[in-house]
Amino acid sequence: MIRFENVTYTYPFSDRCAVKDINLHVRPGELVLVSGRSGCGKSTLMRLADGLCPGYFRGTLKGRVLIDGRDTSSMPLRDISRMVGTLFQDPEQQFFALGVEDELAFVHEWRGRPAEETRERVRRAAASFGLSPVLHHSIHELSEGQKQKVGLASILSQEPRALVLDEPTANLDPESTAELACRLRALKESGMAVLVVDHRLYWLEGVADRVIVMKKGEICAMGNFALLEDEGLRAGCGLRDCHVEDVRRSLPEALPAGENAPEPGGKERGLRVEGLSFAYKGRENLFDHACFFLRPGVTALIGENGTGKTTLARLLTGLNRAGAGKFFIDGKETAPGELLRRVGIVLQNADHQLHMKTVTQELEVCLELARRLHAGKDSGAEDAFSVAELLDMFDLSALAERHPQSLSGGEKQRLVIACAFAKKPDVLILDEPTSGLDGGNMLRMARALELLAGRGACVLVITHDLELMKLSCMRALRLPLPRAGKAGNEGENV
Amino acid sequence: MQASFISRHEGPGEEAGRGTALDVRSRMFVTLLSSAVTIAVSSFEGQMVLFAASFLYALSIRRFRALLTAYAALAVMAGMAALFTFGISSLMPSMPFSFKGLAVPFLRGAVMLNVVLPLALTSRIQALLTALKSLRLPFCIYIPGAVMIRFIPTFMNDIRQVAETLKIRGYRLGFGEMFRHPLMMLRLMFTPLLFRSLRTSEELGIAAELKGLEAGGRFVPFRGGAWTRRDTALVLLSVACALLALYCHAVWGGESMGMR
Repeated sequence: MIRFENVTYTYPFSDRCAVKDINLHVRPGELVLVSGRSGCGKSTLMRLADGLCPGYFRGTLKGRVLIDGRDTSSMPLRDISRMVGTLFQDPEQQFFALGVEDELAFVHEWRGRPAEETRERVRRAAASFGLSPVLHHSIHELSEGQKQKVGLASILSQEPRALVLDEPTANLDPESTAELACRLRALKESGMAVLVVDHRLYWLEGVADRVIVMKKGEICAMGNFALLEDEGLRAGCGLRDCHVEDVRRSLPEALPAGENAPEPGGKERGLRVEGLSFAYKGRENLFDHACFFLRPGVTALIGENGTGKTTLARLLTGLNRAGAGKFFIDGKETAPGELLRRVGIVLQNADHQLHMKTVTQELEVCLELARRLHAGKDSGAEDAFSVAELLDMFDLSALAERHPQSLSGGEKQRLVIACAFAKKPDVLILDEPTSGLDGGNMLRMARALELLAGRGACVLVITHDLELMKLSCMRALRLPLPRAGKAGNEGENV
Repeated sequence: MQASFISRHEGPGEEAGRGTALDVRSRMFVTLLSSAVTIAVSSFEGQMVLFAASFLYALSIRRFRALLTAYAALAVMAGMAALFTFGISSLMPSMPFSFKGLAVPFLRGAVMLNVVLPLALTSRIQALLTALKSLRLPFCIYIPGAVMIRFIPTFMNDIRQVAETLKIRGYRLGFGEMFRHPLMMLRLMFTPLLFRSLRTSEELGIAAELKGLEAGGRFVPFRGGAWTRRDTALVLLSVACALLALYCHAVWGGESMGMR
């Protein structure tokens, strides 16, 4: 169905091949998983399969990419898109409409299908993906899992013969990931050719027929899923683990506030929250007199979509104001307006957070801001990280003089986290810090979090990444938070 | 983490919610008419008529926060312009400071803001596309036009997120800082916005390609717009306001710094 014959591709204005000598055949009813270190050419392979390279990105293509026997270089993108459906890591990127129903109908309207047929296709697509209850919602109201369902439903309603997925699990929780795996298995069994490009591997065990490992634009290993058992291969190609234990239930609960007792002779260390209440306007309380205590160390913030993980992070930084509640950092009550001086937060979208001309300048400015912030405090300046330390810690030394906005997604993500480290916060909250990171960078991130925690910081990680949880999280704060007084045993049973 | 100004339930037939059970074509007509008349009219009185009418129209969508944000940006620009004009007139007496003269260009901006915001914030992209298509505009005009409208809520969300990020980093945002370090503040705000805009436009471009939008083939809306009496009333009212503004212009003449 999708065939690469001696394919070498070079992007415009680049003197280096993005992929080289690729020979690959994805047959109908087969699922092929492609993995490798960031920048190894996986995404280019995907773009070649759906015609974006060279159809949209231009560049030089040598060899042939065939879809159902037809050479893509002689096909317009609209014809390729009818045969190959593409789902991006962030499905919102490809939503042209702003409502679920409109998005599902969009392609059919543009293909001139009769209104009745379009309505029927939308109805069927929504029903098969369980989207009927949110059919009239805005796409911005959906969870990541729901967005992905909308993206997939929209593609499948066009009845393509092949499917290309780019890091489909990067923003999904483990349950949605398992659901996606089941769906892909069903699609494969229905005869669809599926090409999946992903860093996370474990979820496709038993689903992937073949695994392709890429390195520096070339295929360096190909085989069945058992190929990934080779530790040497995984380490050499920056792959993640192929078997992942779900540690969410086994992580110990973060202590409820009432159970906190300062160490003998020492003062209280950590973030204590008492009587936290918050509700969005016109909605039920999301937190109702909740109490918890975060000790120094890495804590995972766990909860289903919609339980308020991001809202809690915003409350802890004062970006959203709580209806009620008290915050104590190292035993001292801190007003919500002052929280940002002591608490750092790294949001998911790195593009919004990079301003300067070089990576080094970006870090220097952050360190200068931190110096001003800590001016007058007893501690701070003497144990602050240096630019060189941060560059080294996040493997950014080679990129020190690059413009931050010219970096890849993973590199930007590491840089914004390095900037947050520069602030040397007492509490650092990170929102999905490892989504889209390869195995090597995920390990690097885990070590960095442990290092910060080792210096006495409370690190709270909002994550669905089971590997990161296993590697660095010492305990979990589970949502929904119990009310004060019910915190003890109920919290542990969530 | 994503949020947007368009984040409310928008059911079929509701045409994007509160206060706007209007067909997108009538709102497009108001926008086009206002753009033409606000350029033609250069008298302060005529512009005030247009501003008052368009402001009431903008309030009718009840998106007060979005409106306030847009007006705050406009006020900053107006304030800076007034300051510089005042400075120039102090140094060059041959160019006296005229409030009305300065007000007219900004009233034009405010009128456009008043009519474009309701269109952007309450229209389904599909309805806009359908309306544009029904105008028989060339493909190369109506697709970029629709993309621009689609882009507005994303852009406003980007502005909010960039400002929030600066606050998190520890930058002090405010007028004082803006005057003390104007270049730095411009860099802090505009660098991420510029790159985000480029990235968003590329993403939308790719999305359009993958959905076969380049085809330019037969477009069949699955849900048609419904023209009601309210739309007719809106069109008639907007024409009446436009005529009144033109009448004011004819009676009082233009005073917009020689831009008659």
